[in-house]
Amino acid sequence: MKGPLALFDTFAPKESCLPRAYQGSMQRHATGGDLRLLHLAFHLSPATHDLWNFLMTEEERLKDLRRSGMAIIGALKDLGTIPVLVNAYQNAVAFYPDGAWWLPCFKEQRTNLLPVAEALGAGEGLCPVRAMLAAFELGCHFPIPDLLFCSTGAICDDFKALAQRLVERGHPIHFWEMPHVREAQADEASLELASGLRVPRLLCDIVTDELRAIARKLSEHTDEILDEEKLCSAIRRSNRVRRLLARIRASALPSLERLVCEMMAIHYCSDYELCEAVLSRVAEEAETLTPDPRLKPVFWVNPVADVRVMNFLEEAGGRLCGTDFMFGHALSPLEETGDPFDTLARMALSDPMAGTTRARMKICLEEAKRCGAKGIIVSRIPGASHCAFEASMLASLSDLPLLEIEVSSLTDNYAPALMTRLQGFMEA
Amino acid sequence: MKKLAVLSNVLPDAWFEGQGITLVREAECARHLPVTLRSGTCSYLAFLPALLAEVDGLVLTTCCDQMRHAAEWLDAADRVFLFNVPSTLHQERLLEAEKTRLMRWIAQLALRSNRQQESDARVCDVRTQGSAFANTASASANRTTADKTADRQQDTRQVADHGRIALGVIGGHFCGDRQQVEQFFAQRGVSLSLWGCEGGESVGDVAQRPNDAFYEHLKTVVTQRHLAGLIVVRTTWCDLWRLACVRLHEVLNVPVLEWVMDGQNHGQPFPDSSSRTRLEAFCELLQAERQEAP
Repeated sequence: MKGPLALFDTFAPKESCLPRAYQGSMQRHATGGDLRLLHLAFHLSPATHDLWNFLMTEEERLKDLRRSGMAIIGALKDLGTIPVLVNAYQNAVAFYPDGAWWLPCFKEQRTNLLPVAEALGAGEGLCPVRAMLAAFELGCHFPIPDLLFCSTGAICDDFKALAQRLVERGHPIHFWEMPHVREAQADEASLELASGLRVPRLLCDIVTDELRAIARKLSEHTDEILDEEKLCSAIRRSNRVRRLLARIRASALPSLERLVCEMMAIHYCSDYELCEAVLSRVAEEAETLTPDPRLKPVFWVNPVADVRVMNFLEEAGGRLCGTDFMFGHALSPLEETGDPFDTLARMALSDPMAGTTRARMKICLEEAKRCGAKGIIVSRIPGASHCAFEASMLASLSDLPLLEIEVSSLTDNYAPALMTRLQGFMEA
Repeated sequence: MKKLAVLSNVLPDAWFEGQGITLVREAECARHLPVTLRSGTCSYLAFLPALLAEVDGLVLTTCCDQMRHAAEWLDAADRVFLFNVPSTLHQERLLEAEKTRLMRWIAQLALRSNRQQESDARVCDVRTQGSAFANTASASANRTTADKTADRQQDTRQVADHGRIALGVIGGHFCGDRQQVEQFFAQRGVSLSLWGCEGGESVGDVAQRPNDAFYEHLKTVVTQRHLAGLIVVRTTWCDLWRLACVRLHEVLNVPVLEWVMDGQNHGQPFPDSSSRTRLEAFCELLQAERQEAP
C-alpha cells in the first residue's frame, strides 16, 4: 500500500532502530526544504519509514560523527569499493559526495546548486552530478570530507572533468587508477572475476597497489594501522549488507524504496551499523510482500535523477523486478578468504562501468531474463558520456521489448509525456 | 605499406617508426561522410566509420570515455585497438604493457593485411581508392616519423607570419578542415602559431588527473609562442575540454574563446554563420588589444 507523506508519518515505528535524534516525522524534512517528498508516494510501513529517515538524516549524522572525532572520507566515483576499505578503520566513515546529484531533485530545484555549478563552468551539458561541484563550493549540504579519493581512468568524462574542477576549487583529491576492464588475451596472465570474465592479471595488480596506497593514506590520517584482519572484517560486514540487499532485490518491495535500499550499497549511507539495522527490518518486511499481478515486471538500467519516476513506473502499470543502477560490484558477494586487497581489487574490476558496454548489457539481459522481466527500460542520465551507447547496444543483443527514456533532476515539466511513454510500453 | 590511424596525440609518432606503416592522425572531416549519431554522442565519431573504411587499422585510446565506447561501437574488433592510457601519472607499467600489446597487434595486423592482399589481389580496395588523401599519405610514407613530428610542430609555426597576430587553437578532435581554419584567420590578419587539436601538435593530456601540469605547460607555450589569444575547440558533448576551457580562462593571461564545432554543416561553406560571428569577433578583439597595447 502506498500513500503520501502525511499518511506515511502515521506509520512511524513505535520502536525505531534509529537513535532518537534521527527519528521523527518525515514531514520535517519537507519543511526543511526537501520538497520532493511532498510529491512522492511512499510504501506505507514502519520499516520503510526508518529507511527514509535514515536517508534524509545523513547530513546530520555526518556532522555528529565529525563532532565525535570521526574522520569523514569522501569516496568519489568508484561506487562502492573505497567505502569497504574505509569502514575497516575505527575512526573513519565513508561518505559518497556524488550522492549530491539527488539534491536538485529533493529540493525541487529551489536551491542554487545548478546555477552555481553553471557559474563554475559545469552547465547543462554535464550530468546532474555537477550539483556535487556546487555543493562543495557552497559547503552547506554536507560536511566537507577530510580526505577525498576519486577513481579515474575508465570513468565517465563528466565526472573526470568535475573532479578536476573540484581540485581547481581547492579540494585536493587523491586520484587512483581504475583501468578500462577488457577481456584478457590468450597469451596474457589472467584471472577470472565473479562474473566469469577473464581479465589481465596486471589490471588486478594495478588496482591492488592503488588500494594499498589509499590504505597507507588512511592510516596516516587516522593514525590507525590497518591489519589484514580488520579489512577482512570490513569485507564480512559488507557481505552482510549485500545479503540483505539480495533479499530485498528478490522481494516485491515497491520501486522507489528499492532504489533507496540499493543506493545504500555504495557507502552504507555513511553509517554501516545503522544501515544494517535499517535494511534488516526492510528485508524482513519486504519478504512478506507479494508482487501485484497487475503490474508488469521490468528490468531497469541506470539510476534516475528524479526519484519520482520510480512512482511513475508503478502508476504506469510496471514494477521493478531487476535493476542495474551502475554498481553491480557493490551488490555481489565478496570473497571472504584470501588477500583482502585482492578481493577489493576484483570488486573494483567488476564495476560494470569500467568495462565494455557490451559486457554490461549482456549481464543486464541475462539478469532481466533470470528475474522474469517482460521488458527493459534504459533510463538515460542527461549528459552522461556512457548513455549514448547503452540502448543501441542492448537493442542489438536483446529480444525483450526495450524502452529508452531520459530522466532529468526534475521531470515535472514533461511528466505527462513520460507517463504516456511508460504506459504505452507497459500496455504493449 | 599498411595504413594505421592513431587518433590520440598521447601515443607519439616515434612508437610507430619502423613498423612499415603509414600513420594517419586524424579523420578528414571535410571529405569523410559522417554517419548519423544518437544524441549525446561525440560528433567526431560520425566520421570514424568512413575513416575505418580507408585504413587497415584504427587505434583509439581511453583518454576520452566516448572514444572508449566508440571502440566497440565501431564493431570491428580485429581492426580497432583500444589503448588503455593511464589517467594518473604513477602507473607507468600499464602504459608499458599497453605499448607492448599495441606493437603485437600492429604486427598481427600487418600479417593479416598481407595475407588478405595476396588472396584478394584483384579486388579493388576501396580503402585506398584514388583519394588525394591516399596519395599524400603514400608520399609522406618515405619520411621518418620523427620528421613528421617535427613537421606537425613546424606546420603551425611557419604560418606565424611576421607582423600578424599569433593565435593558438587547441582542443580535442576537430570536426572540420584545418586548412580552411588557417585561411579564415589569415584573411583577418591572424596566423595560427599553434594547432594543438588531436592530430596536431601535442599539448599534453587533458584527461590526466590531477591536471596541473597540463595547464602549466600551456601557460609556457602561450608565453613562448607569444600567443595573443587561444581558441579551445570542442564538440558539444566533450566534457573534458568544456571544463578545461573554463580553467584556461582562469589561468591564462590572454583571451580564450570556446568554439563548439560539431561538423554539422558538412559540405557547406566554412565556417557556419554562428562560428563565423564568434571567430570574427574574437579576431577583432585581438586586433583591438594589439592596438591598445603600449
